[in-house]
Amino acid sequence: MKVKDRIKSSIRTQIMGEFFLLISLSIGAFLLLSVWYTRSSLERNSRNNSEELVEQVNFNIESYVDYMENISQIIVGNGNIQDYFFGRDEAAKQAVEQKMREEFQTMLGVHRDISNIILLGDNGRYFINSGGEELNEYARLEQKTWYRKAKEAGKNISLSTSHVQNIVKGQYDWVVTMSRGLQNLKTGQVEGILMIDLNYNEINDLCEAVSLGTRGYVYIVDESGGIVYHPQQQLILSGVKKERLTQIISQGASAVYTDERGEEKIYTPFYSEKTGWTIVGVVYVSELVEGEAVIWAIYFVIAGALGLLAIAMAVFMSGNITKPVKQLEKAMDQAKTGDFTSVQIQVQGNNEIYRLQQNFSRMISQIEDLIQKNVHKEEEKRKIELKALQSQINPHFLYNTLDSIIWMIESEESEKAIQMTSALAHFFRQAIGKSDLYVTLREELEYTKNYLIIQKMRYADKLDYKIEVDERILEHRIIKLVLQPLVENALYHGLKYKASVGMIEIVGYQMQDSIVLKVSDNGIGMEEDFLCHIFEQKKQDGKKHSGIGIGNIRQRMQLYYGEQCEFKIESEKDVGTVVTMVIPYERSGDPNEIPQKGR
Amino acid sequence: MRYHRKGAKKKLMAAVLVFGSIILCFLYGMKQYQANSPVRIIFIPKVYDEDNDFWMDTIYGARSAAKELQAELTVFAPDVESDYKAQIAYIQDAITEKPDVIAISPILYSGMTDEMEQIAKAGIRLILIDSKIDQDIETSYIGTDNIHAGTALGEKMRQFVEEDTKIAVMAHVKGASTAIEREQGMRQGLGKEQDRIAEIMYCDSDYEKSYELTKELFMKRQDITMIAGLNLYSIIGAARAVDELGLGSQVKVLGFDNDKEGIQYMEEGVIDALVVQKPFNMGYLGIEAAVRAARGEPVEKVIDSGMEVITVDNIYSDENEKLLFSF
Repeated sequence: MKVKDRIKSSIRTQIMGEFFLLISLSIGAFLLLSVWYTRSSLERNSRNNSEELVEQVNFNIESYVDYMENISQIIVGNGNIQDYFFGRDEAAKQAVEQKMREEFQTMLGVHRDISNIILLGDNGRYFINSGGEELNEYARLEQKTWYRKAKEAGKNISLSTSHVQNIVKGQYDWVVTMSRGLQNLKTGQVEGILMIDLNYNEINDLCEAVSLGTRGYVYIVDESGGIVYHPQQQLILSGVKKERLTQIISQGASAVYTDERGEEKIYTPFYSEKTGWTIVGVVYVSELVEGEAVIWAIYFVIAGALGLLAIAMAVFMSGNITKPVKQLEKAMDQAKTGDFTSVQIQVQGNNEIYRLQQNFSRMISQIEDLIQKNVHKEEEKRKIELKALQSQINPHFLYNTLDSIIWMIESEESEKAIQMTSALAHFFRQAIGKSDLYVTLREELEYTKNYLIIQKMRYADKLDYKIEVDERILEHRIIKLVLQPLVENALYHGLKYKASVGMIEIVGYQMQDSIVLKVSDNGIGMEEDFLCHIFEQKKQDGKKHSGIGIGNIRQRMQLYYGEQCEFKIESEKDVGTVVTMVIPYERSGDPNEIPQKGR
Repeated sequence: MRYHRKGAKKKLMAAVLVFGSIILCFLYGMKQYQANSPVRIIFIPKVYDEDNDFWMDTIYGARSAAKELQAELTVFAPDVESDYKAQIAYIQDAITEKPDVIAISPILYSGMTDEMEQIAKAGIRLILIDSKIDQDIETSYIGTDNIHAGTALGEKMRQFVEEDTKIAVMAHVKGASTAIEREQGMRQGLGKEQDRIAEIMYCDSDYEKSYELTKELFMKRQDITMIAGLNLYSIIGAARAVDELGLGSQVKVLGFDNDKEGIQYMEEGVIDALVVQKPFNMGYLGIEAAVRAARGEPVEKVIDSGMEVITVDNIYSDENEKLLFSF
């Protein structure tokens, strides 16, 4: 598995990923909800505020209407008016005129917000304000909607929309007119009209004074959707801008609409029963949410802090969970290579993974025990085998040697006899002396040399030998009993049948990380056939020789040195045989220890 | 293990990057928000006079737009419409204030071009409202399309044309762009009836002169049955003369602009039709264009603020009432 895939598929990554996703979603939801809630509460507050303001405007307007009604009540109830308008002749009219002038002058003096008080009789008589003003004969009242409506209402009160009052000559003021019929008390019929003009500026100021943010505004529409007041009515009437006029009447509650500029506005209408007008408060949503930027900032900082905390926690928590799993994984990886001794598991906690680890380490230690036992057994076995080998030393050899010694003594060659006996003694001491598996190359060579000395004395005319081993590797330790059996083999299989003097050569040197040992003879050599079967367990060849076989040597070398050693036999008929052994050069360490495979 | 820890670090880095970018986005948003801070505009109309409905409406319109579009509007204006020196001084003051836009209704057509060029040099955008100058250096011009308005007047005149109608034209100032354009439009509106134009007079924007010229004309020529005034002074002077001579019912009087006196003459039947401009819209559209220009949005080179043809029958319609009578 590649490292990248490993990261992708690690439990920790998964936990962190899921944790992170969860946290992000929660924070996102938190943000959206908070902003939504803040926004809706801002909007609700603003709507409440608009409603209050709009109601306030309406209250003020209605009180103007009440106030005009009161004035109209006073005027209608004025007895002089009957005489002035419905009196029998001009004289009766003249009689009350002066009185009326005074009364009206006082009334207008008190009520500054009233532009005009106009009384029109169907008979052509009229009285305007304090009587001094003239009627505009070109006024064309009949063409005006508000006037026709007022006439239709008879003696009932009628309220006009905002309009220019042109009844008074030379005057063109913006007013809102309240009208009611003038009854002739004698006939009971409506025979004239009373109009009270409220200065439009009063309504204008009232609406302009309302503060709905810096851009918000108030407007008023009448029952048919005509504009009573709008700060931008010219623009709307000439079609430059659009406004909700007739639509607003049926709207009811406050609602958000988008205008032609794409701006969202909250419209809060209030319908007045008394005037029939709808007063509308308009607030720009963008203004409401100006404060929202700050709120967003605060929310984002909180969300960011929470997010970072969550990430830190995700890292920490996932680490906590997966740390023992990773340790377990590492331990298993180690165990896989066969290295049980260095498998160390530190376990913490008391969860499933802990118990898993416990079982695993129990298993590991059991395996290790088994291996140890096995190794021990093997070692014992080898030792026993070696002892067996040592005791295998050819009895014929001993017998022949002793025979030679006897013969030497008989022929009074005591010097030779002493030499041979001494060599034999050394030979045997070494052969049976130590039970160690390893000896130094010097010791092994000494042993082999003693053997060669004895054999050379026996076959003086047939055998010669030469030992050339690098001094530097003499202290190197090798497994016991490898050289002498090879020499023995060379003697019995190579030189014994040779007519002339045979030569055995032992060469040893270091080559890189290896030690090379060669045993060569110039004997009769071996048949290829024989070579092929040389490593097989002998016994079947029926020959008397019962020394240590080449097969045994090779087996032991492989056992102790593993794959790193080499064992090679080259032989040619009538030329000789060379046995080459290559074993690893180990500078340090205890060669007595059993080398383990794979090390 | 080492690799895994590295992975965690990468994750942490990614998360930090994500949050960092959110914060950056936010800061950017705040900056943008500040970039949308009020546009500063100085508006220099021809006059600030409570009794002058036309210019008060223009200023109201300008203020209405400024409020709606959140612009910071300052108005510098002479006390008298003819005080071009005061207006030039105000232009120089305005340049030192370094606003985003200066909107001007220049009193002179060619007498204040240097100052206008200084505005452009100072990197301030120039918007012309109502009147133009002899150089084409403004970002946008907002006003009545005089040719269009003249055409409307001409078409109205054609409706009144009878078999033996002869027409007199009372223009205001010879060579003034408005006079030329309005006459041109009027001729277009009249079409082939323009041959009936028998007299063209110039009153130099003076009521008295217009009145005198009209009176003389009707003394001299009995065949004239229609007179057109190309601005307020021309039409009011003409109407006064016609009224005085008692020719209200025989002579058709048509013209540009209105005031209370004009309305009265119309109610009385002396004046038959008036082409009126829309000063509130002019002011509003002018400031709207200024704001758009300052925000780098595209602005039309010429914006027509519109006009309306008023006759006695539609004076008190909802729309015209608000156009003709200021609050």
